[in-house]
Amino acid sequence: MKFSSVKYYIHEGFTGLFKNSLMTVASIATVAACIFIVAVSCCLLANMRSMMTQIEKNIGISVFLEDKLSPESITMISEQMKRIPHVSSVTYISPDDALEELKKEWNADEVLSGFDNNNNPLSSSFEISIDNIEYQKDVISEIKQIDGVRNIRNAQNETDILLKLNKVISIVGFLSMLILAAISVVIITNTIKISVYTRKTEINIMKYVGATDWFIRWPFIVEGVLIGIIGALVPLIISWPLYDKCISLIYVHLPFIGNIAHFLSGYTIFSVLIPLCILAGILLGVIGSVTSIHKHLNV
Amino acid sequence: MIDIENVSKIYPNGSEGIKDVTIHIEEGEFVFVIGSSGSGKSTLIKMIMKELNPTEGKIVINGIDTTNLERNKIPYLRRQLGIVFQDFRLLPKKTVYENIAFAMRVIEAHSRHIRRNVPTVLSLVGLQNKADAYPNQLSGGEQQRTALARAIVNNPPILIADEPTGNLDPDTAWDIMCLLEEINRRGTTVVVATHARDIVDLMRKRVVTLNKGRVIRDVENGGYFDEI
Repeated sequence: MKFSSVKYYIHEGFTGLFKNSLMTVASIATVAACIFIVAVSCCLLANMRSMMTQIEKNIGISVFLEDKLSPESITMISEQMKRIPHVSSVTYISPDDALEELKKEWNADEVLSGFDNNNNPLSSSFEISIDNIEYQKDVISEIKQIDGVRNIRNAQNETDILLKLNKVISIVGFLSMLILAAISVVIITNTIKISVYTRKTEINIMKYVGATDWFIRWPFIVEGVLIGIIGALVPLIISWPLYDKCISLIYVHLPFIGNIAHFLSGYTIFSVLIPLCILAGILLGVIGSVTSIHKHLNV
Repeated sequence: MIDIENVSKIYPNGSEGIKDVTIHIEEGEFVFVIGSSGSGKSTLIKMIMKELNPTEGKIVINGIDTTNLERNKIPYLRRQLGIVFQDFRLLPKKTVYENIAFAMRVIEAHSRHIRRNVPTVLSLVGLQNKADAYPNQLSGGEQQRTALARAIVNNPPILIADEPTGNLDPDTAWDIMCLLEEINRRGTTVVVATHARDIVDLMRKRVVTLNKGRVIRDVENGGYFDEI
């Protein structure tokens, strides 16, 4: 490929954009609308997933130990539990800590006033959190086998509900993204097809004067890439500040949501979404233009 | 230069475009292909351009056997041919200059050559003052001159014209034919498919007459054959 030809492809790609301005606007708008919908769905899904994980992390397991264990054996139990796969943290709660906590929670010093460090009825315990609640059952059965463990308490119902919810969100999310992507591909290739069709005479003439198929394709590919990039950037640039604004509004007006879980920051989502969408836009542009020119090259 | 040997074309719907046609055209010749509508002129031209493939027989253009030519070689065959159509086929959004330069860009010619050759052919066809005009600002004759300039700018050994004067008034048609003759005098082999009876009679060139897909007459210094 000659340098002058590369210059020509890029030049023609850009002029194509401006000379067919109506089709260009239509194509960019289509790509932008599709990418915008995909971006919004991505934001929703990513946040749902992240909130689920945050809630999951709060669902810990309480492990109560037998009484009168030596500090050495308590340390040993703690070490054993840390070694179990998927256990992310192990926090020791001494009987004294537990009593303090209880007093605070009940806000009733009188009821518990008879108890102090000497006649504390509570036992030592561990608060365990795991990285993925799907493995809760496995972790519990491992802990049961450790000597010195008296009782284990976990929120089985909540766990089951969360697990089901998680599955539903994953499946629905995956399917809707798939459908959206498929619809986008169809709409975008069609728009580009129309744009190519309006220039079929040009392609025809190029064939008659001896242009190779690739020489004809390149300007259209450049054009497709440009449409893809602009079509991806426009909705992303609009939706980033929009997203940040939405989150701050939710925190202000629905403060309880902030107590349960936190939203992902705009940066976290868009630093992944922008390159992905631009890539998708470029791919769509290229696939759209190559497939739509194909038909007109057979002369 | 152009060897058409026992070529037949049967369209998928069963109609016969061309039947057992053999024509040999030498380098530097000027040949008229005449015949009524449906006589097979356009089929023949399209097969020379490799827009259609013959059902039987073979066509050799400037040493290139086009019979089993691979798809990716077709552009290089077409660079041997300058092609002019009845409907001019100019790009409406490009100026006269750009339309002609376009044919050179397509074959990846150097910009320096483009800047040198385009004005040369423009003055050859008498359009040096119209370089910046768009096709819709030109008369039919001027548009066909532009198309001619585009066809010869890469200096192809062969020029094929399919009804080049079909859309033009008689005077303009005559000018275009004179231009074709001038191009032929400079060494280009010229093949013109036409209906223009007066011009064929006046120019006294080789005339190949087609009727119902067959060559019924092939004479030097001929005229329009009255029986068709």
